[in-house]
Amino acid sequence: MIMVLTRGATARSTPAVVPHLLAALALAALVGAALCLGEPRLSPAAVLDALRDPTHPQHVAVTQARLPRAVLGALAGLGLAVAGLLMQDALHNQVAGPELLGVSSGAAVVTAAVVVLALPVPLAALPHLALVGALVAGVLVLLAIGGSTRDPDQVVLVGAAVSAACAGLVVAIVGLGTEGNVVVLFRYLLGSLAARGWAHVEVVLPWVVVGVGVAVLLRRRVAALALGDVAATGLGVPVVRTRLTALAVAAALAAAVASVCGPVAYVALLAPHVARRLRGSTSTARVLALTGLVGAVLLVAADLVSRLVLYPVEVPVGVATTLVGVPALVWILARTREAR
Amino acid sequence: MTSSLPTPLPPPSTPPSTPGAPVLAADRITVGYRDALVLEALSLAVAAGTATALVGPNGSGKSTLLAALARVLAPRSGAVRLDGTPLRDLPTRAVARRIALLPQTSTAPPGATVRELVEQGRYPQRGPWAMLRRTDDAAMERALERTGVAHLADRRLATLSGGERQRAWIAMALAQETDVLLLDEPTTYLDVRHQLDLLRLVGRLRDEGMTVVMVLHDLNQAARYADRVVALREGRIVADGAPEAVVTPALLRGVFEIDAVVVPDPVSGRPHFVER
Repeated sequence: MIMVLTRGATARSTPAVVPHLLAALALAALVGAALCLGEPRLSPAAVLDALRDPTHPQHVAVTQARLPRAVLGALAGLGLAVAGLLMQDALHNQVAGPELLGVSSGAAVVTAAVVVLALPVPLAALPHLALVGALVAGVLVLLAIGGSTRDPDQVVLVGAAVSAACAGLVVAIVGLGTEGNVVVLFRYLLGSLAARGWAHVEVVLPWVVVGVGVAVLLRRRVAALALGDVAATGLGVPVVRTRLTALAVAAALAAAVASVCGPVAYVALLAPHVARRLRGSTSTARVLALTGLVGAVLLVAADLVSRLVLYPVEVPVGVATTLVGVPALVWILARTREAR
Repeated sequence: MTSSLPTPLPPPSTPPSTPGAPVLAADRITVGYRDALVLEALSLAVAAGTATALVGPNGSGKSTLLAALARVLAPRSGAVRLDGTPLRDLPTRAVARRIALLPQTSTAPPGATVRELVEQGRYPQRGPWAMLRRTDDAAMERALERTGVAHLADRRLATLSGGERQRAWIAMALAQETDVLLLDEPTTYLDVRHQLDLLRLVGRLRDEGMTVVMVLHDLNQAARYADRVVALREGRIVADGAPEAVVTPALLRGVFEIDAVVVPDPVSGRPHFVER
């Protein structure tokens, strides 16, 4: 008996450290690379000098452009990944994502309206306005879902319908645009981290901290939802309240990210799947931390690629995540079918 | 109906469960889905340390009654009481430390391992914060041993046979370490041998003092493994009592619409029906 217990305990804890460590190292390496690469290219030593020395010629480039951009990428990736995990497990749907909550569409509608209709809004206020649009859309979707939280498939259908309506609204607004401002808008609609600074980090940070904190509190209850609503009730988990809270947290996380970066596709979808494979577990509680790390790694890596691949032209990061995300989605769907 | 017995109403407040005292009781509950009422003012008191089988044709309300006892469905009127206290007045996690439920269909992610599933059974004790303690590990190991899936603990559910998977789910319910166990058609997807394994396990749990309520399709199994058989039809209890009192030709004709003779089972002596 003691033998069994010991073996069980070690089988649980030892391998858990490895993927977390790998992901953390990868994130550190990518952030380091993001600080070094670009124009001009800096050595790691030069980056350290530039960080410390305010008179260094690259001080501003490193501390006011590259660093906040990398930090924003990591925070946004973390937030999106946790939102995706909550959605997938709370709705028992392997391809559910925060786009079903309409938040990125809401942010896009507001941004499109401001840019295309040339509304007199200071540039610094745009992310805050977009955030309001995202949250309003999220609340509307959650209200529309309302009583149907008992039926996860119904949630997915309502979410898809509202997202489609918002997408139509964005297209309608784009149709009013001129050649000049529509190009600017497209950059946003594809999702981008370009020219983001500490002010953008400040918009996202509190939402990610609170959202991820609540996700940590919810993790075991959401894990129980994955067993089906009846089993979860038997375990003493309030099913409807847990599902609604998980969706609200996912909406808040995705809203904050979308308001600043636009709708960055596929990170929320992919990160949980990558984390489950690395961790060898499907339990929400066990993969939560790793999912967040993987999301940060994915987005920082995608942003690095989008900055460098066609340099000096910058590809919106959403294009990079989509190019990786679509084949990965097809692969996930094929595998899910096999598993049935 | 010759075999119909009145169901005793539980007293207004019952003492903490002692053997024989009602531990779980439906007190004039009305339960339904949307517009359709399935149960109307139904009462059933379950004594501690007994095994009760709910039987009846499809649509008779037996699974709905179990769902109400498990607080999966809230009654529109009346109350389900645990030791006299309405379930709705108890925190749901506190109820989960007293009542475990084996649902009819399992939807666990196929990638989950048996141990991960069984670990979920410790949620009522652990809550959202606590790490796995030694008591949790011990309860999980006991549950894995009892159900004979200890050697499969690290296997993924998707790689198990239907019988093994069902036992893993029962292990999850046992890991809750409750004194009441509710099972919804636990034998449905099992072959005969695994059905019997499961029912014998239920019998042992009952012998150890657990209170068991199960929905069973097979009337002969109900008669053999339960102390009390409750037959439902169209949302009403039409017969209730010891297997000998309930499994009778009259009931089989009246409730299940089958023409049968009832003979004593040569092994257990319990009633056993054979259709004509």
